[in-house]
Amino acid sequence: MLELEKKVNPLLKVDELQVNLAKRFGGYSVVSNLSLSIEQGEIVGIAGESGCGKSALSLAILQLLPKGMERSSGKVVFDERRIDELSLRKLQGIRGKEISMIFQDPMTALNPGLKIGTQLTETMSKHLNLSRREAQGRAAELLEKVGLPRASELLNQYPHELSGGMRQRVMIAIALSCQPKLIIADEPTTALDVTVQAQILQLLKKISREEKLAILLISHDLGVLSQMCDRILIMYAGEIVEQGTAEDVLHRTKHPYTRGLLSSMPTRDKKGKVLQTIEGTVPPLSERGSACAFYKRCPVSRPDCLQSKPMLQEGQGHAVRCFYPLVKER
Amino acid sequence: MENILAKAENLTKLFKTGRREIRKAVDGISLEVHEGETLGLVGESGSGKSTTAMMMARLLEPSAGRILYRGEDVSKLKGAQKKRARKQIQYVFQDPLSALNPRHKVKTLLEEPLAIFKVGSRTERMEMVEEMLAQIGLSSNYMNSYVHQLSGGQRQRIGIARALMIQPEFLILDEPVSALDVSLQAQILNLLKRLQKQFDLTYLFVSHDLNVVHYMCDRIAVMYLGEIVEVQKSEDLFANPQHPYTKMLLGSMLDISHDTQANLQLAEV
Repeated sequence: MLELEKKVNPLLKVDELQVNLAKRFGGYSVVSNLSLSIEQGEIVGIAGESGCGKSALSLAILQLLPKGMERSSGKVVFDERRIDELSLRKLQGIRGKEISMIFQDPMTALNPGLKIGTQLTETMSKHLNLSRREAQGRAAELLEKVGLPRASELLNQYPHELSGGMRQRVMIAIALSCQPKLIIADEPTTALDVTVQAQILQLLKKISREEKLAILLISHDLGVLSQMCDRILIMYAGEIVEQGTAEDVLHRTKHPYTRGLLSSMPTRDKKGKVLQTIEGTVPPLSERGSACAFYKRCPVSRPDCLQSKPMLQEGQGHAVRCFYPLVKER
Repeated sequence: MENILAKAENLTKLFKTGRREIRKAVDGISLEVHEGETLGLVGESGSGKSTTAMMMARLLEPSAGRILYRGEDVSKLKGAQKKRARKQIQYVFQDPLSALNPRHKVKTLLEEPLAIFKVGSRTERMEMVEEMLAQIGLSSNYMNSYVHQLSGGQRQRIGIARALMIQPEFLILDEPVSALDVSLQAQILNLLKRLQKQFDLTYLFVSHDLNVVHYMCDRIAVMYLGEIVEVQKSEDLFANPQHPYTKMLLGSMLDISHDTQANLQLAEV
């Protein structure tokens, strides 16, 4: 839509990000040379199998990588600031305020020993300089906004007293509490029932549209991404192998890996047929080299795919990391 | 009329949740499993689908009601008789990593059911283990591996193989692919389909994933708050759901449709 005008200054720009395991674990590359950008208010999805590096990528953006993994090069620019160079103290002014995160499992992300109210006001009193009373009032508002009635009662409850869906709504309320510009949501609905999942996703989408909130949505579920995202990035073995609008990636698929993911989904039209699968498994970190990472599992690979690594075209358009992209529409 | 393999009558399970609190996890359900079919059991967490599955496998004692297997009441059996009945009914768990003993090698894990039922000599049992590994698409090199050395998909293959070792008729699959990535999920679903044909198995397939259930099952039972609210042939259920909860469930499915992003609006019902 307005892509051309906005293109100049994306909200988040990750530039040639490289995440490696620490030397003592072999120093292997987990995320290799990855670039992406997110515009204000845009919902961008990242898909891929376990071990493809999608969570490492999201953690690296906020310097939350666990011990044993490190960002060895690359830039992260948020709102025209290099946030990868910030000191921990300065970064804490951004975490939870301008960029917040929603994790998969609210039971481990919430503190079981603190009341909902305390956890909700904690972020706000830290970032917004609100008095206790103001913060309490705003907390109640937030809970209502995420679809939780009886806010005053809820503020005095502990996480274990809530259902999974309610807990995830509380997580979203906390993430929204300081009116961030970007939310990184790592499998936010994977642990939830389908009906609750639909409600939570709807809520996120509504808030994103109303408040121009950008969301980086990480999920292994292409169904979720197709319903939520403006653009989708497919990751394989630490790299983006295909990116473009949801429509392009899912319906004008170019990469054999994306095609493989789609055809292994047991959608309704495949009943009674044998599912197409992707042979083999993701190559271990130690075996990722200078050739196409998907070579071994690829149904259309040719010998020269081993000679060098295909490049991903720059820019916002539909791009693919493959020497022999699929041409036929799926 | 189809042959009824297993039948639940008025099955109820109560759990004590506090000193005076009792929760009805399963509330007087009746269910028929036809021989050779795959019956799906769907519902949200807490709806009682796993409790039902575990009672059907005789892993949990029902508080009331009975389970008939080939017409025989198996719910009151004890000791040797219970063991005999269980031989026909095997269970595959969601998470093979916690269901399989991490200190045993694959060959021990697969031999154990045979040893329990005193099938064959040690050498014969090892041959059977090797045969089964071939059936599930693993080479015999994995005989001496431990579970943690296997990938998620391989682990679940071992979980399935272990359940099949003593040639049961009825396999209860509790979310067997929920922990797997789509490409592995597809491999396991294909495998289950093939094994079912090959060994004439009947499946009770518990899942929260409607796409998977639709793909796998002949009939589907929908559970809600401990009750079965609807049982229909898969196609009929999807084409013409009767119960409001089923409608809501189907409305929440997120498909990759050309009609991009239509589903999320539908779910608002």
